[in-house]
Amino acid sequence: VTHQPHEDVDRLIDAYVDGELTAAERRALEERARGDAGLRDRLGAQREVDARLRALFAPPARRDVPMAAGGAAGSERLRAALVGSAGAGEGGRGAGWGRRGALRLAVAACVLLALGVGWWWAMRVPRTRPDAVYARYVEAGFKPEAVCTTPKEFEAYTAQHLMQPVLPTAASGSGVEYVGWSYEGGEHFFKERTYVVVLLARSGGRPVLVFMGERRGDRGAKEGRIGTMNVFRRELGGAVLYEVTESGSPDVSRTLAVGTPPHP
Amino acid sequence: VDDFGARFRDAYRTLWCVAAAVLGTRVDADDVVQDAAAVALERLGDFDPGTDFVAWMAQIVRYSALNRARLRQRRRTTTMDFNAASTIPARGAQTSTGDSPVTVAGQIRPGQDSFDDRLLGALHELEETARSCLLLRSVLDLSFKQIAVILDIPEGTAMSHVHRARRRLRERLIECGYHAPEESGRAGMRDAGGARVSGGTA
Repeated sequence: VTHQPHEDVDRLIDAYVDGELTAAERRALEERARGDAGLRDRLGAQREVDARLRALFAPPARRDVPMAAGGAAGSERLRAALVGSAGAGEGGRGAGWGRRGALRLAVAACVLLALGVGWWWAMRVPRTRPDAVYARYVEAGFKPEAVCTTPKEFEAYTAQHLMQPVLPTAASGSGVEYVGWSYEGGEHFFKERTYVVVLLARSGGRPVLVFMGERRGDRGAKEGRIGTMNVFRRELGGAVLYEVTESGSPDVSRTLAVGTPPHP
Repeated sequence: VDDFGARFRDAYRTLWCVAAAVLGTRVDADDVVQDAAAVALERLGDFDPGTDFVAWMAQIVRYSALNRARLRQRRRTTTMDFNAASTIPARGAQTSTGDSPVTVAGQIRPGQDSFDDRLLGALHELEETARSCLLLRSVLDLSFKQIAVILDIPEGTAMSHVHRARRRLRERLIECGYHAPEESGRAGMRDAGGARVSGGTA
């Protein structure tokens, strides 16, 4: 009974790393961790553990099924089964051609399906598309969820979230203004379960979003025009930055530099 | 047999994860799943279509992985003591290579290797089912219900394994000197409420 409170916090930490807390609950726990070194350590350790487990034990894609050279018993049957042809049970040239024919048919069907999906995808504006995300941020008042008050805080914040300290270098009067941080809408640029932060900024008074994520989660999205917005990509140490802006140049991300790790 | 390929492909990542969990490493996990697939094909008649295919395959993968682990143990001439790996540097501590496990050039610092060694060492201390539960949850993000079906254990047991395993790992890392930086990310941030900071810092 005496360790019940600890048990509750452990459950909360589990829910935190599993993404099962609401934004308000997350913030409450983070705020609590700020004043509680023990909790901060446990929370930090758990995030680190989960991130490293995902990195160390990321399974290969389904298509990478290995076929043992030389083959174990049943390997031929396995190969036949993996090709997936209904008529592949018997060996021989005829069956082989049948398998290849079915495979070609399957590939053609996949290409047609991909074209269809691509057309459908191109015809719609998904909520995750950068211009749609940008519009949502602007419509919501361009309000950040958190701010840093000093460059040092900025560096510590990026080091913690991205494992890569980033230093803001824009001088006052440069026309670039860092507004604050948010966390939503980076799906277009980064894979799921990647730590992504969004820098809200202004350049020449116009809102700019810079999505920052760990390099390992980068989708490698292309630069260029998406809808009404321009997208610029930049690699910064272990992080990747995508700037979404109306401007024709990456005014904000060019003011960010590789920082130094925070010291106690 | 016709259906096997498709089902196997769908289950591949899960089966790979089970193999890696039993082995405690990703090395050989591919081979184990391959071996298990060959065994499963030979024993396809034993599979009851009314039961879960992934659970059936996972059981075969588990046995294959245990066999592989035993073989590896026999072949090993020296024992590997993960606990003998150098202690991870405290995140907040000043070290010759800095504090972050990632260098400013984006490369993993030497300390990161130690961190991973320590983590793998702690992972090896877990019981094999606990490791499987943890990896299926943390790496593949499966629900406890799915994990329970795959490993043929009660859902509450899967939940309990994950919970205890996570606590054990983080406690081990903290015992070894892990400290979160004081300005720890969002915890170090203050709510903005739309406030903007003069001086140009977000």
